[in-house]
Amino acid sequence: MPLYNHLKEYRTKLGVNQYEMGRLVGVSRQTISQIERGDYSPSVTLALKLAAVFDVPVEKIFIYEEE
Amino acid sequence: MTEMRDRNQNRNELPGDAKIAQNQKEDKRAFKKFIVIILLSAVVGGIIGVCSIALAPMRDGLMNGLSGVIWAVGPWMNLVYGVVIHLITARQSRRFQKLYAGWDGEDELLAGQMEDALTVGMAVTAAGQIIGYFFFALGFWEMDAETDLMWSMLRLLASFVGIGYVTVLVTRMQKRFVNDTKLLNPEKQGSVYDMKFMKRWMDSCDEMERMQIYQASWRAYRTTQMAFLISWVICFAGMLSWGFGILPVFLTTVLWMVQSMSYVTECMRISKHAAVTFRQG
Repeated sequence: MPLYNHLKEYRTKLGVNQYEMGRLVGVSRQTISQIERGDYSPSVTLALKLAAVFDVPVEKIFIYEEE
Repeated sequence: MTEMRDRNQNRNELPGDAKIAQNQKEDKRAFKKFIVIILLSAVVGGIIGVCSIALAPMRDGLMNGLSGVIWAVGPWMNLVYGVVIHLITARQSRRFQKLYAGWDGEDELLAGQMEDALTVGMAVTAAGQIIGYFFFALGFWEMDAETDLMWSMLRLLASFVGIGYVTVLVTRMQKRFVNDTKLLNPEKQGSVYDMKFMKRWMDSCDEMERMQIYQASWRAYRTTQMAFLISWVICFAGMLSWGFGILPVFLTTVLWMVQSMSYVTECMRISKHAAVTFRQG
């Protein structure tokens, strides 16, 4: 199931690179990269952590659309 | 089916009850293909058996020729093989260093190329150690066939030096690739010299990396299940016609059982302790 996201836009607005983003939420640079490319869907916990960093609801970052 | 229906009348219907008829239909559909595969496997197995018996008279000639070559080169293989591993892994390491020097920390294309270099390097070192053990054993095969004492000692020395060279080389290159991986992913923990390296490395993996490991492990499990089956057939044919003895069949069976049972028991353990297994930090 496709899970689109605006993580890269939010991260760019925050002014951090992928490694720094990963450090903020406790994952690797590679994981952030894969999430941004849409190759990996994060767990609920990770999605909530990411939303908390940007202080926005999780639905603003991740969008689920039916195929 | 009737007994099951009668039993079910004494309790509330469960979601699984509705699936009984569907399961039977699914089994019936798949059973036809299953029987064809079983029959085909029996035919192929029979052909292999007949060919093994038919080729038995050729065995001595073939085995003498092949064993002569293997015996001659066996003790020296690790020395040559070590050089080949060295060349391949050193090239991958240089490639990584060159790419890393020009990386800005964001470029995903470069990051992918660096990861490819590391993956190739790690795969070569992993295979390298295993094949090194085989060549070491080869050096001791038919040892008493060498009657000259000096050549006999030389062969032994070459075997030990060869395995030492491959082991030291593989360990050094694995250390280099692990440390290079830590350059790309600084949160990674563990040293290759640590006995608990795999645990420390796994503990430092995040959810995405663990998912990759789990998926790769599942694929490895399925592949080795097939490999064990093929290996068993070869060992069985060898026992019948090529003088392998019972040991190869027995060893293959034991290893196959270890793999299957360790998977099953781990599944059972995980299902009982799901809260601990799946809790994410």
